[in-house]
Amino acid sequence: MSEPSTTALPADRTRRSAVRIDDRMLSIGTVLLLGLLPIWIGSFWLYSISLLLAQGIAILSVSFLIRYSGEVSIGHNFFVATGAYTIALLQNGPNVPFLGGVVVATAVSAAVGLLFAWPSRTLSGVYLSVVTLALGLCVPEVLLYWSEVTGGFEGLFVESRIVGGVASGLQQYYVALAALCIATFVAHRFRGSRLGLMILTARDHPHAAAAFGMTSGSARLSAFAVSAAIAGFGGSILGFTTSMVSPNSFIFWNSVTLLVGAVVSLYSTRIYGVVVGAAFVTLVPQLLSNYGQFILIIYGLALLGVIIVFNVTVPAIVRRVRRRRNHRV
Amino acid sequence: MSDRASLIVKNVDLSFGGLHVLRDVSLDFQPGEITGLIGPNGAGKTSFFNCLTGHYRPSRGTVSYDGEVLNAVPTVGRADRGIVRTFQHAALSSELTLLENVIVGLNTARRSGWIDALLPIPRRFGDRDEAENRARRALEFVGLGDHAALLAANAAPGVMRLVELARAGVGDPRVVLLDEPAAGLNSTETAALADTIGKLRASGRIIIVVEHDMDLIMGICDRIHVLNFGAVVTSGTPAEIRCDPRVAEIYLGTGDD
Amino acid sequence: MLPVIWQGIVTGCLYSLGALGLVMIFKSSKMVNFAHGALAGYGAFSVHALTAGGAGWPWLAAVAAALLGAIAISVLVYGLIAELLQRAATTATIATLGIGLIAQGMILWQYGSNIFRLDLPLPHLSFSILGMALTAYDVAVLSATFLVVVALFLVIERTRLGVAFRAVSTDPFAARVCGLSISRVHLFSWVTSSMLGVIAALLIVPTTFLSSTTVTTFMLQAFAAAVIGGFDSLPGSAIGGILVGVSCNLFSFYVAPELLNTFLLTFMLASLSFFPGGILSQRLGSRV
Ligand SMILES: Nc1ncnc2c1ncn2[C@@H]1O[C@H](COP(=O)(O)OP(=O)(O)OP(=O)(O)O)[C@@H](O)[C@H]1O
Ligand SMILES: [Mg+2]
Repeated sequence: MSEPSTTALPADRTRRSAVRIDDRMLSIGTVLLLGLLPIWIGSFWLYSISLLLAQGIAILSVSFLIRYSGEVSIGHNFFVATGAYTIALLQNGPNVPFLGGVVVATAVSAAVGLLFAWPSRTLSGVYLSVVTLALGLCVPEVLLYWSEVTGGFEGLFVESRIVGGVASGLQQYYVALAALCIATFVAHRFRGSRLGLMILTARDHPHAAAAFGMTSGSARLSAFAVSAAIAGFGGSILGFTTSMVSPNSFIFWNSVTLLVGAVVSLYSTRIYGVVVGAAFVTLVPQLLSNYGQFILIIYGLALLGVIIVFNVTVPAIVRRVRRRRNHRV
Repeated sequence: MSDRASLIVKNVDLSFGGLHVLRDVSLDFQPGEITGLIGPNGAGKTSFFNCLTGHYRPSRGTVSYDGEVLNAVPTVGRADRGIVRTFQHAALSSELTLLENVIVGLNTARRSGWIDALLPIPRRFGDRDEAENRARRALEFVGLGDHAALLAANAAPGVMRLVELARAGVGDPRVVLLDEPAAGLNSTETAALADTIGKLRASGRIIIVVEHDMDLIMGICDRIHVLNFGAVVTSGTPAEIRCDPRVAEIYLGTGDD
Repeated sequence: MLPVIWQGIVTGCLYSLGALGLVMIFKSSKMVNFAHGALAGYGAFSVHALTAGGAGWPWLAAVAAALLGAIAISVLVYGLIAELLQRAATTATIATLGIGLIAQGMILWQYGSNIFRLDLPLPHLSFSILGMALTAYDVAVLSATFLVVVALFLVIERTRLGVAFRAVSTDPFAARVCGLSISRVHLFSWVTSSMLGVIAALLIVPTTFLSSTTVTTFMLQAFAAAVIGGFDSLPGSAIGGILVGVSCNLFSFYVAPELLNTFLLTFMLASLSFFPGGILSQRLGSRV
């Protein structure tokens, strides 16, 4: 068959693969930089950045959801809390070792996510988003109501050492870094898998996905469960890096933070993108700690600005550039 | 599944509220043949496809394939039975490359599941490499071998049509439904498309083409059914249809084509 | 028990008003406006500032000014996200979250985190019927809700804009073919919604007090009402509001007021399981 003249661009395999290498190099560079960072920074920053990295996993979970299901959640603090409290309870009760706790916390969060998304699986995404609002608001309530189990306001202690002989600050940092690497690796690799391709197709064209074997309901449930699993994984790491879990760390506001981070990172599943998003939501509150109202306004402007720039302004520029190029030819 | 499985549609009615979209349609399709389905805009051709794939539920009548009544089988189940289609309005994921969009067509044939999706299984143990190779061949088959890495968002409409065709054909389907595959193609491209569809013909395979381009339909089909206002007006070989006064009347009467 | 239910119905009316605003926007624009509560709260604060703060306007004038302000803001907000709507509802939804945060931040900036009283200018009347106390406030809420619902019904059923609104909400594509101006219909729904929001906010604030979070918290119940009643059904969301009001009141009174959000979550999930798409929904297949 002859080359169709309707092709928009010449074969651009080379250009794209160049971009790919850049992506990967950026990721590797970020990991190397983060890996060497403890050489230069003091314990305060070490702790802050450990938190940032753990927070990054939670941000990734929100990005993943938006990217794969096209739906917004403002209740992901629930799944982060599920992961964090699961690992804390497992350590305080049956004394399960760290790795086992992380695995169980991830699985439990996935199951809870599935359960939560089940009733709205066939409905418009609006329903899911709105219900996540209540999900996000109920976390502290639940934690405080059943305080015999959850430790109430004080929360629960989480062991912050896995091996003896290494300072716990360093352990927390490197565990958080490793966990973020794993999470971004999994989330990024997911895209090319059979399920990843089907879920993306279902997001854009549910009828087409059904015609090739996946209903939009199961696609959305899958995306939500994976996202909840990532959030729970992040929660268990967050518990480890803060060495405690308490209701204060999982209020509704945290979900807003996660969403802002996800949007600022442009829903990135790459480690450098996630770190940028996490750095934004870590630094802004630190710089403006005495001006709560400005944090709200800056977060709001960030959401609005990023969304408008990348959905309206950039496409408009691209169109104009294309038109001009066509004129010249 | 026998190799000579035929697709039989009996007395299918479909309506939306008071709008009768299909009226008592009974047709059967033989393996190894390419069947054309023509009719003016709004005749119900796409709706007929939707009844075959389960996107729409007929209010009366049955659709059966290989002796099995499909009415209760959901769309996904029909995909498992090898019934695939293209869409009149290209339904590719804009975030995926052309190659990845074609791999979607292999979904029911692939075995990899959650383990491959989440754990770092080497590509060749999952079936990513194999799927990619098959999809690449399918893209070459429709003449897009060089554009595998192009994002669907950047592809021209004519290219999307061809990718749809590749996605439908890649998984060795039993029944292929093509909804206006030539829309948006120029005449040389349409000629090449006719070639490609001809090569898709296989002994056990049923191919049904909806198209407004009469030359294409007349050139590739063994039989043609004409639909108007949801009812089958006439059926026959291309030669018979060409001379049928009723067909001319339908098209001239509606001022179409 | 009866007084608890009765109070639930009265508050439920306000949830219905809030939910009607959300549904108006959803029906035309197919998105949720997460800024609904914060913007309505902003309106309530303006009324407070104009009446109590040095300005000393008469109440009605302040309300009129607040409604005009709400209209202006809703036009501005729609202008910001109109283009997003043509792409994906999700991005527009996230944008409204951003707008909500900005509005919330502006309230905090201008009025601080103090709490204020903002009452309706009503006489201190109360009489009892069947052993239930009925206050002037209750009467005001019920009659305001009644008037608003009737007015909304008349506008949607009788005016050309209302016809266009119904056409767009059932089939945006067909409506565009008929030459209706989609953005005018959108604007109509956004403006109406913002006014409904301010009215609901002014009516709810007297039951507690006005703080930067009062109205946004209240709107959670309105969201629940819309989920339970169905996001594409105006009557459904009105009924949903009453259901939410009564059941929340019963739950707070007899079970555990500190678990109210958890109750709402469970209620919504249960309702979605048994009445997907709302209590009044009839499911229609989508076009392929
Ligand atoms: N989901 C639906 N709801 C209501 N009416 C529908 C639906 N799907 C199709 N129709 C109507 O059914 C009729 C047949 O539509 P269909 O798309 O099958 O026609 P077609 O033959 O494919 O036309 P074209 O050549 O324009 O593609 C049209 O009048 C259309 O409006
Ligand atoms: Mg059609």
